[in-house]
Amino acid sequence: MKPNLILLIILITSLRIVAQQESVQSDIPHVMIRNLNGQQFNTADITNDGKPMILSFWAIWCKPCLKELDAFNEHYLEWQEETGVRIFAVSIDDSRSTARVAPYVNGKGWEFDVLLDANSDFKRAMNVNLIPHTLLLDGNGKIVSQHTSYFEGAEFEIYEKIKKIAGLN
Amino acid sequence: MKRFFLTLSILISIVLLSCDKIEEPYKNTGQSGGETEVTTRKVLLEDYTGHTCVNCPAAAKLAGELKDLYGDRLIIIAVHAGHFALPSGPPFDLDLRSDVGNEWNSIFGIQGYPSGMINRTSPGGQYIQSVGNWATRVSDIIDDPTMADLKISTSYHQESRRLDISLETTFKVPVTGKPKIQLVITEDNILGAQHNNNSTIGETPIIYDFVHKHVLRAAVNGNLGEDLYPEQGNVNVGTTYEHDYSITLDPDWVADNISAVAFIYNASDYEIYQVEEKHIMD
Amino acid sequence: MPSILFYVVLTAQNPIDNARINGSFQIDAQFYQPDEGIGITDSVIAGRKVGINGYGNIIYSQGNFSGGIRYEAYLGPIAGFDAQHEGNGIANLWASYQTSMIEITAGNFYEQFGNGLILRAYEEWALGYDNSLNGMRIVFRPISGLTIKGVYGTQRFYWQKFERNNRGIVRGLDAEFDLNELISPLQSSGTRVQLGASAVSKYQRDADPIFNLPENVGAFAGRLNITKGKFSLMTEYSHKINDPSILNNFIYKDGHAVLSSLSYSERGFGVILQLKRVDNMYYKSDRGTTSNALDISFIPPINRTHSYSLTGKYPYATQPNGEMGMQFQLNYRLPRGSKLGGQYGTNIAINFSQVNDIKRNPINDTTEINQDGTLGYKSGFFDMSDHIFFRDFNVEIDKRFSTKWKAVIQYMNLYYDIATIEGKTGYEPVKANIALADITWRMTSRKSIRLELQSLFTSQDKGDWAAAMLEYTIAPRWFFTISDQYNYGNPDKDSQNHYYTASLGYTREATRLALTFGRQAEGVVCVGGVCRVVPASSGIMFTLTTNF
Repeated sequence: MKPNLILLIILITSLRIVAQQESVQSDIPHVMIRNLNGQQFNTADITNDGKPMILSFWAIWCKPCLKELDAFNEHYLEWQEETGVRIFAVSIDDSRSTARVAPYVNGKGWEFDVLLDANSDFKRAMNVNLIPHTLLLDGNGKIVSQHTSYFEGAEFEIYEKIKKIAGLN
Repeated sequence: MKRFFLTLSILISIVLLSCDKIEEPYKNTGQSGGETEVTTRKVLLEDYTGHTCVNCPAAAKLAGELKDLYGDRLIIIAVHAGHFALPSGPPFDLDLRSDVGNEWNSIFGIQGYPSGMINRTSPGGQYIQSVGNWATRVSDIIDDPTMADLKISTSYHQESRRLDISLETTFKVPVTGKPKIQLVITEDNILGAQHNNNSTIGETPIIYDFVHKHVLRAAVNGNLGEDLYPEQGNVNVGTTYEHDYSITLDPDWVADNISAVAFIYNASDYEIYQVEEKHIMD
Repeated sequence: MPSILFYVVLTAQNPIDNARINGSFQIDAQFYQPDEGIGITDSVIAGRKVGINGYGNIIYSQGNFSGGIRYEAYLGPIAGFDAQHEGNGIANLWASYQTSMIEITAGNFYEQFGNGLILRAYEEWALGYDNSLNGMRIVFRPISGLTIKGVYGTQRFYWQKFERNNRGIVRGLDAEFDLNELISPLQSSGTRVQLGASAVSKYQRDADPIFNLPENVGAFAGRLNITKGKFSLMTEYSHKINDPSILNNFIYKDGHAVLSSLSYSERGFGVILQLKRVDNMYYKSDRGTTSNALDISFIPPINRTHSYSLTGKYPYATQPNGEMGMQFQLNYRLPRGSKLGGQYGTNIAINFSQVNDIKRNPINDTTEINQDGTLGYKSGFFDMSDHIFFRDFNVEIDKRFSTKWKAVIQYMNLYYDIATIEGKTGYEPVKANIALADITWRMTSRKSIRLELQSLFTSQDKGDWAAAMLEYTIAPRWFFTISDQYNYGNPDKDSQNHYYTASLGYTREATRLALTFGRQAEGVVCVGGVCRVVPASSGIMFTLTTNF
């Protein structure tokens, strides 16, 4: 019985530890993608010091995606000041167009973080079907809301939700 | 750190070593094996094709090379069916399609051309074999033991163009289920235009005097043949089943180029037990 | 004892609470009706009045463990999908354990080495393309800046189960070094350098009575990425040993592919030049297949992917047997307040790409070029043929006039060798000019109207086309569109058809429902390097997608 008891204690403690570690587990799976410099980037690093985040999947050939990101960029400074929101734009362009993403983004002067998911590994892990697909995350990385497709003006509702997450409303 | 690089270089060299650099000659030609018995296992290659299909001449060439290799042991039927076989205006006026070919084409769901079947076997559930795998598939089964003997005798009356055909089937091993027997007519050496994109075979994009070989013309006993015997139950090993047919040849067909092709197959999964071919003028 | 354990599991609920399940579903359905006008008769439909493709994907994760399952059903596949899709069942099943140092996956997985020139397993739902590997993968990150990947498995071929010898086995290794991470003095350097090397080998047995075939075919690649300030250089070279297959007419020549790009960008200005050479680089795990499946390598087409219906009518597809191409793009933003830039600035994009065949020289006087069972041909690294496969010059101007109005105009000049790209041997190359305008009027903050007008002029293939589309959207949920494509220049008077459609869609959160009524013109749909011919159809199309 003694070894069994020890086993039990170990089990309970280990479960506790797991439980404690996971109480702040975010909804973002850990996937290795790349940043605009081509360096590996762990999606676990999609964080924002407890402030809300927008995670948007896009590609250079997707017109509504570009419109959405342009709209975000137009308001980004203002949104950041008010809510501290951080935007991550994940490009799912594959090797036919990955090389064009960085010049495009720089040319546009987008201020937010752009990541490259060239084989859609992160997209698959997040179960994203169609782009544009935008997720709103709270400061712990929990998904609060998500939305597929973009129409002119949809950014206003997104921002209303961000304000709610930031506790401004 | 060093250890990692060592492991890495070992791993890389393993992959590097698993490479086969082939030296000449790359290709075998000429007859292989030859006939060891009077009756041997024979294999049916069905080539689904069409005259506006650009990749089809290469498939026909490969089928011909296999025929050179295996001689009488390999029997070819060229089935002209589907979109690429439609008569589509000069120079593609020929209509080499047939009722029986159209039905086979739809039963086996063939949409890509060229493609084919080898004895209608379905390794991994796949009846349709792409051209690149024909040779391998044929060599896989051609040396299997013979399951049945099949004899064709014909007599042709030139004036009436009437062709009488008798088939004699004797199973050598027991099989489950009641087999079917099918008899079809093929015509060789029909001249016509053919789209082509392989310059090592002929002109591109059109070969105007292409020789269409082994063209399926008609079924004699129905598009799916008929039962080998009327009674219930499995086949009797050693019993000879006889069938007599006759058909009047179409005036467009050149009798000198006509062959009768017969095969016995498993009614439930279409797999062919034995196939035989006889040129009617022999 | 077991009862105590059970109790522990029950009470220690936190870990269970922290387990996460996410998933997605999609259904694409088409209801076909005969439409004599565009040549769809009852016999074309052949009783198959409905095509439905659908999938469900579930991922379970808890701590370092994750696992997933994917179900697919094509009953029957919608028009344009290979008939071999027909079927239903579990397409993917996998489990994975991951720490910061090691990651092990068993089951079905996707992977890409470098740019994918010698290995890329991926999935493209819209095209029905899936060459996932079924096997195991290990990713090892022993130290910061070094990643080693090892994979082995067999590739998906529709629903056909792998059995001994019915197709090949793939195994591969990849190592990537991030020099800035590996070498500490470089950590703060403004120059970022990554090096990578990979090796892949496939095994397929040789039982061919005619050809003496290699059973193990290796391919190797090396890559280099340098970023320094506003400059970026990316290059990858790959080499493959003798790999006779049905697609290269059983020649024994080695193959190679090179992909390079150089870019410079700063705020408001970006320019990129890409170069590519491909020679005998089909690499499939079944040398006999001609299907659009079982590719181990992925040779990306580098021309611009067009998003409008007429500019995208003639999309290029890579010719792995040989091509040489270049692509140049310039993006410039005329600043706000400048004379041409106007109050809101104006974006200009100029893009040019051209792809030619490679030049093939005979190996000797007696052997024809590309003769099967020989080394095929000789082609030096700079040997380019003057046979043009594809050329695209396009200019796009994107301007906002006020908070309510903006417009995109685009001009495109196209040369498209339809005989090579679509296999329509004997057809003349298509030379086309295309112009379009895309105007958006934002009526209120949530409602807007968009009008697309396009025109394509050509005297080849099906002649001239005009297209118009009107879209009304109420953000963030509703859209309504009506559109027409009119093939008024078709040389065959009876085929001068209108392809009109009406659609509506509703989106709420991650659920999207779209319905389209009308006709679809025959076309080529390409995503990520693979193209699929979509036949003309008429009827109702329905798409439902959701995820959680």
